[in-house]
Amino acid sequence: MPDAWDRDSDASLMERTRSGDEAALLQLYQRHRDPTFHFAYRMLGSAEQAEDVTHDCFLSLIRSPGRFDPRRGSLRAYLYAAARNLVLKRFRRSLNEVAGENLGEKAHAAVPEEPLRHLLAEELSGEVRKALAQMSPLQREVIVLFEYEEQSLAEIASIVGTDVGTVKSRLHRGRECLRRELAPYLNGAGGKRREKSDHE
Amino acid sequence: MNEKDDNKDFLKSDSEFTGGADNEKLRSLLRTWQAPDAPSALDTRVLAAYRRRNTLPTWRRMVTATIPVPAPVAMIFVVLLLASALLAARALRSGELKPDRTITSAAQTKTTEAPANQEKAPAFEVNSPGSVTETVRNDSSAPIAGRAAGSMDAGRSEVIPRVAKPASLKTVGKVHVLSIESDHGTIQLVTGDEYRLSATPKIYAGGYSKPSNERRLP
Repeated sequence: MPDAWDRDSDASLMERTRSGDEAALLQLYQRHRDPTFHFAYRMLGSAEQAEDVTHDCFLSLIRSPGRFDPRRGSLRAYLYAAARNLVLKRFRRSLNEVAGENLGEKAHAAVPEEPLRHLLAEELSGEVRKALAQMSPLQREVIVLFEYEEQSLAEIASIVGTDVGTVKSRLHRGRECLRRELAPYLNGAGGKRREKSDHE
Repeated sequence: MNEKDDNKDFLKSDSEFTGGADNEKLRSLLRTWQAPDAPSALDTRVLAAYRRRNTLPTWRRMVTATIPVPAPVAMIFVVLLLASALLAARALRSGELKPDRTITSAAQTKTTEAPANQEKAPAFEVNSPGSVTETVRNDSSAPIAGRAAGSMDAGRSEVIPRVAKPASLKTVGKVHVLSIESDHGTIQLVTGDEYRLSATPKIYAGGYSKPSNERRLP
């Protein structure tokens, strides 16, 4: 059941936020915090950096609310685009550090009840994280936005500032890359582990 | 990946990208990597930033306000500014740029006719054959003690005024433009940030002079 603040549009909440309504800001923040944070986290692989990026996104919204134009797209898309720009800026600043070290941070797996399954899930999520880390940032952002954040192709195109055809191409290539990297896990759970033990 | 595959992909819609057994398998595999929840410290930071922003006094907000300007526009602006400053400096150095203070509002301009009975109290003196002497007083009856002395060639009607006592010109006060008109021509004194004296004799030594002759006073 949609409650009162769910019915408020982002644009009206932005107007209220601009006029100093803290409750409106909180609503907006709670609505968009997690998607923005998750996107930044999956791009950077670091919770600390993702926190900074999310903070900066909301800060820019607070400082310059006029930059968000509801006619050009949703607030979610605006925040994703802001997060993307900040992430790419970080990539440019310290490409090696981000690609090499931060994505090595321990992956968070979906936690099943049994311990063995938990271990398997952790290993699997680690492999997924590694496979994503090996992709180029442009392919990764499309994969993250489409597969995890469930944005449409048109929305992704507006977020990354390109056309739908390019998004489709990047998505297709990204998927191919992931299929290649995760082939043992796609063909059968634990396939890669079996291969490893065979070698040993 | 060849171009054919890409083209085939371009034709797919959102649902076609989402659907398919292969894609479903890949998606469920990808979902095993979950992002952690946003830390609560983030909430505090964002809220604090918002409160800081809202509690700032207006003057401080005005002082710290920023206007995003595209870099090319900023560059063009800086280049134009530098070019105009350079040109102005060059013009000033070569003496081309002289502020024309004769074009002022009517309120700033006072023209004083030289009275015939004050001719013996010289304020501006133009030395020439058959010497011409003019006396000028301002509204407060204080004598204008500036004295200009010029020389003129006998055959040429060109007057080059010279100031004897520039310091005393300060007494002119609010008078910005002072014109002295006589049968022989016009002597104009401009005061303000700097003093300028110009003489425009009408007829002298039987001929017409050059229309204007100016000298900026120190």
